Amino acid sequence: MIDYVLPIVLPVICGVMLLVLGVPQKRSNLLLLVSVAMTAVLGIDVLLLTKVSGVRLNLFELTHNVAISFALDRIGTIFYVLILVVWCLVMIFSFEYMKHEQNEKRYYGFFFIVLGVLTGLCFAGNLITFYAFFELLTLTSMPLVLHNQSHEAVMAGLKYLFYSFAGAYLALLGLYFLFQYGNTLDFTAGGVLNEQMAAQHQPLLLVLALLMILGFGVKAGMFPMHAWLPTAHPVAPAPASAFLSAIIVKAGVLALIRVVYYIFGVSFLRGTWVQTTWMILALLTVFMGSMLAYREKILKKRLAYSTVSQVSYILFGLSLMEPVAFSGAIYHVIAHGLIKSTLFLCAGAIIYQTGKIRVEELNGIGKQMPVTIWCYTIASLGLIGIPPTSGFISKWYLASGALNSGNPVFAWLGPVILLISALLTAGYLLPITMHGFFPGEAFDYKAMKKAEPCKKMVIPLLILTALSVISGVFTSPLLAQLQMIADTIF
Amino acid sequence: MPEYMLFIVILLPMLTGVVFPILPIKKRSYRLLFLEILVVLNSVFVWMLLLNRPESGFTLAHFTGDLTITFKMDGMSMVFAGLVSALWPLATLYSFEYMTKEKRENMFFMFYTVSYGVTLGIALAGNLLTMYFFYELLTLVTVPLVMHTMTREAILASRKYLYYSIGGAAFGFIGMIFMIIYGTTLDFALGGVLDLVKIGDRTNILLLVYVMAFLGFGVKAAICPFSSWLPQAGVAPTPVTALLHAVAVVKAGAFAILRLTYYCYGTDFLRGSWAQYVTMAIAMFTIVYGCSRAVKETHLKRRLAYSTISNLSYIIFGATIMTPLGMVGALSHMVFHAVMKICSFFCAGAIMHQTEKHYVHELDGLGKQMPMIFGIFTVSSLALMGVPGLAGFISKWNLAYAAIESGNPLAFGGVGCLLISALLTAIYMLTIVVRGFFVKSKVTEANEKQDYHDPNWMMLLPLGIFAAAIVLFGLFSTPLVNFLTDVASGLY
Amino acid sequence: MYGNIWIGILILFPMAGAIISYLLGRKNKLLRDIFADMIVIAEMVLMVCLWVAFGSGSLKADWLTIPDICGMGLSFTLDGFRVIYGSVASLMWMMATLFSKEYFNHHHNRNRYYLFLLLTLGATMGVFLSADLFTTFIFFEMMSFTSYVWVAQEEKKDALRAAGTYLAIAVIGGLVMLMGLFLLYHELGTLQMSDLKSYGMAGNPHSLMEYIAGGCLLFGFAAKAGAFPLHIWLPKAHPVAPAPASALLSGILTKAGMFGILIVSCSFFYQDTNWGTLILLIGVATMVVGAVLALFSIDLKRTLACSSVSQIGFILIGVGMHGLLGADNTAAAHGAFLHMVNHSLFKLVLFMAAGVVFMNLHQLNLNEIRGFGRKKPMLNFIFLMGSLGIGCIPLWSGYVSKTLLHESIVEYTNLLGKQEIVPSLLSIFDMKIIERIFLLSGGMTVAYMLKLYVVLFVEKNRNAKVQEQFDAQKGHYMKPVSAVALLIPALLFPILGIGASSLMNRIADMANSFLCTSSPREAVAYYSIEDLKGSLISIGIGVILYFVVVRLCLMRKTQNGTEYVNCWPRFMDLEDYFYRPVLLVIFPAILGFCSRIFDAFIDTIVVCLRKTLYRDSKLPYELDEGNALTHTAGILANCLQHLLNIILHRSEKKNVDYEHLFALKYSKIRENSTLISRSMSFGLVLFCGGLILTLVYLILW
Repeated sequence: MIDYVLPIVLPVICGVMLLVLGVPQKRSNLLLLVSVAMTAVLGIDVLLLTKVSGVRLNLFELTHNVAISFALDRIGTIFYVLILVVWCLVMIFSFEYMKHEQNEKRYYGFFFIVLGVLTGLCFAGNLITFYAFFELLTLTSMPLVLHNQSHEAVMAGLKYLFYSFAGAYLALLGLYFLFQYGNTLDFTAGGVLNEQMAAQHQPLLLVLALLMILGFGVKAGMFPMHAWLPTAHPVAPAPASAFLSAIIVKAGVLALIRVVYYIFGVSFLRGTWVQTTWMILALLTVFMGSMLAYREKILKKRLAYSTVSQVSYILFGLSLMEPVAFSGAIYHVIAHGLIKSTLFLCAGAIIYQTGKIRVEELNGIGKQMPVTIWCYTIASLGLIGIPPTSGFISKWYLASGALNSGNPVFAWLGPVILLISALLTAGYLLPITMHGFFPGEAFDYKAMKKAEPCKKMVIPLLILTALSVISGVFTSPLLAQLQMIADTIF
Repeated sequence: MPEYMLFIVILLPMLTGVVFPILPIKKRSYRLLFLEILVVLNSVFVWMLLLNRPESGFTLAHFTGDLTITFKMDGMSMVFAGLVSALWPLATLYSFEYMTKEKRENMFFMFYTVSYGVTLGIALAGNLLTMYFFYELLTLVTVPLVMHTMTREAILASRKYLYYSIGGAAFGFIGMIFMIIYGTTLDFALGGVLDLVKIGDRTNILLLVYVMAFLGFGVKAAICPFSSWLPQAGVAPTPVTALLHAVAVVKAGAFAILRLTYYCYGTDFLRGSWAQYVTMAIAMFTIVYGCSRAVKETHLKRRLAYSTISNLSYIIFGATIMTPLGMVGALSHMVFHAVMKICSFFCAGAIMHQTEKHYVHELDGLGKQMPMIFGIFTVSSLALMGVPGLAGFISKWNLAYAAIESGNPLAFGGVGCLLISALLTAIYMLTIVVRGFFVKSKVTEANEKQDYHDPNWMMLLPLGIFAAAIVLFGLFSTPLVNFLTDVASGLY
Repeated sequence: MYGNIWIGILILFPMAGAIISYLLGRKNKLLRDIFADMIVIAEMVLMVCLWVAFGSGSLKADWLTIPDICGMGLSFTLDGFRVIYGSVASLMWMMATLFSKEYFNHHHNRNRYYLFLLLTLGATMGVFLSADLFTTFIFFEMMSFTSYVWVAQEEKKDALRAAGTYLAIAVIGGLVMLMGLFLLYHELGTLQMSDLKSYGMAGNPHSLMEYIAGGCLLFGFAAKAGAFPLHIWLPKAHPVAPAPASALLSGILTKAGMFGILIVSCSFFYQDTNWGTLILLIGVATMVVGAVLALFSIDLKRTLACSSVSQIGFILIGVGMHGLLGADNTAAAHGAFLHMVNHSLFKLVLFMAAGVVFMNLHQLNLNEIRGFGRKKPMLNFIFLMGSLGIGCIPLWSGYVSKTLLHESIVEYTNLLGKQEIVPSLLSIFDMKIIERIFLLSGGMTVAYMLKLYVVLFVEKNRNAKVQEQFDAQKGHYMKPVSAVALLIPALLFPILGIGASSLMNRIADMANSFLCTSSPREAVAYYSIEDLKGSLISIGIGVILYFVVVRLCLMRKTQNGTEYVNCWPRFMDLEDYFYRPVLLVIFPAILGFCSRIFDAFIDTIVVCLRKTLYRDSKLPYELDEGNALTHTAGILANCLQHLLNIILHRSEKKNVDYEHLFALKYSKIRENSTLISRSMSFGLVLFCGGLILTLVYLILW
């Protein structure tokens, strides 16, 4: 009971307190308050995470056999740990970054609440609980998007909101039907479909599966409903957008994993037209995202498009429904989570220190803030998939999974598109490094002034970068975990 | 409890209402206190009736043949009566504060209280005739409330309201006549009272009549072709719009349709017939239509009114599924929507009352100044969207469950409509919330800052209770849903 | 981690050293330089020790595997080839680093340079020692990215552009190679070179997928090796890179590419004639293109760069012949390998010599540096050694390797004639042509080296004053350390050349196992008549070419003496006129457009809905007069009138408010109608009408 509920409730309480209670006048006091709460939350989370048992906990029933139930399995744990790490680092980064933004209190408040909701998402034991937290996630993360209340920020926030809800309702449709056609809605590896029901209503169920994939795909920024990402990211505060595309987008991925592997089951979907459609959409997104990122000039928007494409790497891996590709996909979840948060935080640091948002302004930035751009560079290499970084490992597994899948077309088309998009990734990420470190002889070193951000910003960057490399070098423990998961669901 | 109490609880508010204007008490607060006490008392009676229910009915008068004015408390009566009696005292309390800015409040409270009795009359009616009688009566007593402000707009609106309702009732009347002829009795009995022998091969005529009656009663439930009176009636004072045009009157329409479908014609007769498809299609269309209009609408109360239109059709959609589960869905949405919509209407009213602002785009940044109101409004809007953990989710869930369980392909489409409307609901409700909380208001930028603030306890208390109810029903709806299931399966 | 730890140290040591030297450099530059020198020397020593240990077979394990790293685990090994190339690499690095100290005396960002110089050393070692293609790939990528910094080091405009090209080629090549690895791994389930070898030796025919995989790998490695048509980065990158860097680039990095090609061709596609033909043709193309470009170029380092391309072509021919010749591939294999080694050393010397010129003059244009070398015997000797070596003059080492290559071609032709060999697509006639081309390119090599030598050491500068300055510089134009660094390798060429049969054969034999070949049955007589004939022919051609083409066509008379002109047509530049437009303009334009459409898909729908179906309804307002109909009609009429006012009668404008007009009419009509409807007579009229209708009815029915 306690080890499930407390990690969910505690952050929410902290957040609500922050929102409701009066703001301390001195900023330092606020930060003190926040950091104390943060340490408390993290401490308790970690403590409970060590002793949490996989047993299912049915909290109560909303209505007939619609139970709120929690059960933490391996995959949930992986996501949860990733979330905790990124959350706390981004939080530390925000301490400095949010100095220039108004009503910080609200920002921190919602940041806490979002953590709680995400925790719930990872712990959710059945589809309904998951869905509930999924909608809450949309609602509670929206204030982070439209934080600086400018007109376009608000518009972006609404766009994010409505796109996500459109997706959520598509998923809900499937949920309604699954409640009828499934034995249960508890997540069980290999699917819960009732055999003869599935046999009778196969066409209907396939359509529903596609709808749910599309629906949850919205959060994961999959074509056709990806458009909220490039709108929402540039206007959100940098830490928020980092968290958004590192973690919250992954919520969509988790949703798809749950639906495909734990509700419908691989055996039901493999080889159907749904799988094909999903692959096509994923690959289309991969290419489109990186192409648009390549042509985009505003740094954060470029990164947002890159998120669109990178997350679809994961989706493609999932859509293959093949163990190796699955491992690759989950590995990319982690890789992309770490790398993309690094990149966004770098962008944030640049904006914070120099106020430059467009790529062509960043000439010689590497001379000004070397550490930041070093982190940026290493992260970029990771995203391109240059060994020995985590991005390379995931790409390796994705591609070999694709080849193993034996699908006549996508077995080779997938890797090819992944590599093309990797090339584009290099094309849109590396120029910043190149012009940053090699400003050319015209650049006058006199006028340049050091703009390295303070420790509060640099340390999270360094940690994240280090993690992204370490996870690329010391791979075996994680891969073993993923292997175990794959064994259960395939 | 003795049967005559059934009549007492109807009579008491009527009398109260009638005597209220000529009450020899000068001080406003005392008059209101008196009124409130009586209303509460009546509600207490109703609940006592609910808790120990008289098995047999109470016949007031006999007309020719077996035409009688009879009151009886069966399951559906319990639901509707309980709902109304729970909401009314709170609404009255709210209107005390609200009416401070309106004129002629005596008249207002008079009709307001009378309509309480009349609504209970509809709820407790034991047969079609009685229900029809009170149904007409309700129209008549609510017209003055609509035209209360006496502006040209109000008068036009009330006229329209009158025409529509009377016209609709006429169709309903036709339905009743046919029941007299082809039914074994006029009393309500779950599963219908049609006499198949008498019908013979006139099935299609009967179905046609059913559709007519459906449309007739549907007028009050604002189904699509006949819905335009509802937004216009929004000119009435908010307590009226909130209670009557979000709960009592319109729910009376839905209630009548449920009675007609489940208790007179009977679902066995209707299920699978073209009549079912027609009615269901109408309901589905209205669901989407109402939301769409709500999205287009920029006037706050009218927007809510349009949302009411679509939500009422949820209920009717549930009714047209024509399975016990469908009835459960319909009833649960009847209850939950009543709470949610009255809550949001009262918030709207509070905003108008405090700030004199009527249009959505005027609400920028008010959330900072009236956190309570906007907080509660947020809760109600989320509930209307059907966010899990709030009431709306449960009723939608039941409806969808029923629709899918019925296996009727059109009903599958209906589920789709529910979700489309859910999305549109999100759009038109959350834009208000976001404007309230996150948009910087132009006025404050022009730093001519009025200090709006939350209203006093008389407004906040009902709102708080409603919000609490929404959450409570959302989280622990099992007992209520069990009860409704029993009702639908005819245990009461 | 199992096996011989020293191999790992060999790789990690320079990388660690790189970081330390970087940190040192922030404090003290001199200390940093010394430290860097120590590192490379230590590396060299370590390598030599390993060689000795390996040669004496006292090595306890000649392999190293680190499982559970980077997904697949890393594995390294030592064999003759690897030992030699490891030593060559560390030797070159040592020389280059020693030379750098002086070369970079007055440069920015030296710290950065040293950091990446040493990092690249580690990576390159990793490539040459790797035992499976996965490991190769990992270090290969590292090498590409760290060496990028060398090219961009000067930060001049063209330097950055060239660096961009270099990086682009590296990335594209890397990704294609990765694709190849995917396919290969999927086909074979392993990337261990030993397995590839055994698979290839088994001699079963290769599937299409394997050819594709091999093609991808070839693309990736050839891009680095600078084979046609991916040679474009070399002529751009070398002139702008610092001299030591360009020495390493064309000396070692290209060979890293060759290393990969050797693995694919010699082990995996062992004795596969199709593959051999492919490589051979690529080789020929590369050889010719490089030589011609070199001949036309008027930039010292560019010439050397192009010559690198051409020499790579020679090596590729060897590899190709290795594939074609089947069992008796010794000559080809040894030729290719020895030419690799030679060329590494030649280019080390030549580029560093060019570096000496550049660091004194900061010029590379032949017309500017003309006559710099006069009265500088040391530089003269060094450069001469290099030129003679690369020109394949007998008694110098280049002659040996090239002779072997030539021999392999001849041998194959003969075998074809005797039908003693698996025929390939190439007929005897083709092979004869190829041989001619081979000799011709050899001649061109001689020609352009002659050109350079004459320019530097024979001719006087056009401008007498400049010439005086040049002459004045004798003695102190380079520091002793640098001189030593240049001299040592320069001395190697004649030694190797003269001791050919003993030294070079031994070296070649060491690589047998790697190249899947065997020692020659009878010792090759390098100085036999026909071999000498071959080289003499090409020398002759070279001299002729020099006097005919260079002196006559590529030089122009001006008022003060002659000058070299660049007759190479600009539009023949592959990069500027094909690759860049296609990759940077055309593809992005087309595909970007499509992506835009996809991107805007849903948004457009939403916007359309918002503008049409879900438009905000207008705020309602009461008409003060008339009704909706008259209102709209009036507005229309007003618009019409306004229009007419503009168009027709400008002179006397009409302005009647039709809206009001209609409203008035409407109200009048309504009054009348009420009057009528209420009047008695109207009632009567209605009554009569009804009466008549009734009557009609009665009559008709």
